[in-house]
Amino acid sequence: MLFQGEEIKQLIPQREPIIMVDMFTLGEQADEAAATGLTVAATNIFVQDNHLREPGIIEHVAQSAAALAGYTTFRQDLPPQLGYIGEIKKFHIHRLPCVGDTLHTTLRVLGTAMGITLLAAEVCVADDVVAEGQMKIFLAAAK
Amino acid sequence: MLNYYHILSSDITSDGGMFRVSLNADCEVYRGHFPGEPISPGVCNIQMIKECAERCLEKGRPSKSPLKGDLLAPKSPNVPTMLLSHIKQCRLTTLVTPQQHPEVEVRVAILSRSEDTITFRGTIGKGEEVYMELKGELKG
Amino acid sequence: MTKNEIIAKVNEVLAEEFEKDVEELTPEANIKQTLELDSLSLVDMVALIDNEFGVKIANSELASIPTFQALYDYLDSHIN
Repeated sequence: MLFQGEEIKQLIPQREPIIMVDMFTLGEQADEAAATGLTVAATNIFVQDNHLREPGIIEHVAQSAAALAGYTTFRQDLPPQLGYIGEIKKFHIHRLPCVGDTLHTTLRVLGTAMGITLLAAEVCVADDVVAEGQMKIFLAAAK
Repeated sequence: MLNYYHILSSDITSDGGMFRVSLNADCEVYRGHFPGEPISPGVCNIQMIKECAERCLEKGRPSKSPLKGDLLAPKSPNVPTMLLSHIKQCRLTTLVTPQQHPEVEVRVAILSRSEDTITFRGTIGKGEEVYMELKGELKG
Repeated sequence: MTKNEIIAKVNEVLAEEFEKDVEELTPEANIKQTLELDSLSLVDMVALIDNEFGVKIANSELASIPTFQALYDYLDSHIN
């Protein structure tokens, strides 16, 4: 199932001006949980001097994870839960994407314990890995 | 540029600095993070630590000029803009909100400098409390 | 995989990930205390065990694995 543009709002609790993912689909490979995307607009709040700066890239990964969690609740007809970044580690940013570039991100779930999920992400522009690393996300208890 | 924070005062030494910072509850980012429930985005706080670290690397005498904040704002030409190339570890242990934490302290320790890489440790907290800690590398 | 191989592998990967000396990982030692695990880092251990042994430890089972001996026994029963 493919979510694009406005449909992403069904999966994530974030809203404008901090929406940093505009495409989501479940992964096709066995060990790949999800694939997400973001086309960098000139109006993106994390763009400076024509480049998407570090917080934009990291938030894109966090919201990709949020969308993956949101997909589970979406299938149960529930709204997306608030989720927070608990930890970022071994995260490398090789270069900054430019306005107009499309980020293609793959997510793998490495483990889950006590409401915290550890994910590995790889962010590419064309065939270039621009960032990669691990993130822990925890979800607030449903209200 | 985001009207996210404002530096109230700073104390910069040769190997780091301490910044008293106010968080602006009116920043537009809170419209979306999250509607009706403003929570300071972790990534904005990471960027705030990075910008404070860059201020610690200012060439020449630290400017006493008005200490604006503003995420991703143009800086004094003597303050370098670096790439946050590696987050070795960043733990966010306390949720920060502009209502509950209108004023926080950003502390930066420069751990090593080489030709083009700076390793540093940064925290956001208040007094004894630490809300988040970042260990990372900046590249020039 | 023999139990001794499991023990050696568990100690090796956990000591490396959590930057401890292998000697500290004794069978009776408490895992959380020895590796200084908190609610955020517990998942690192779970992910590491999954990656190395293909065994997913469920939340409900974590409480019954307080010591390294309990972890060796748990993995032995799930692998062999």
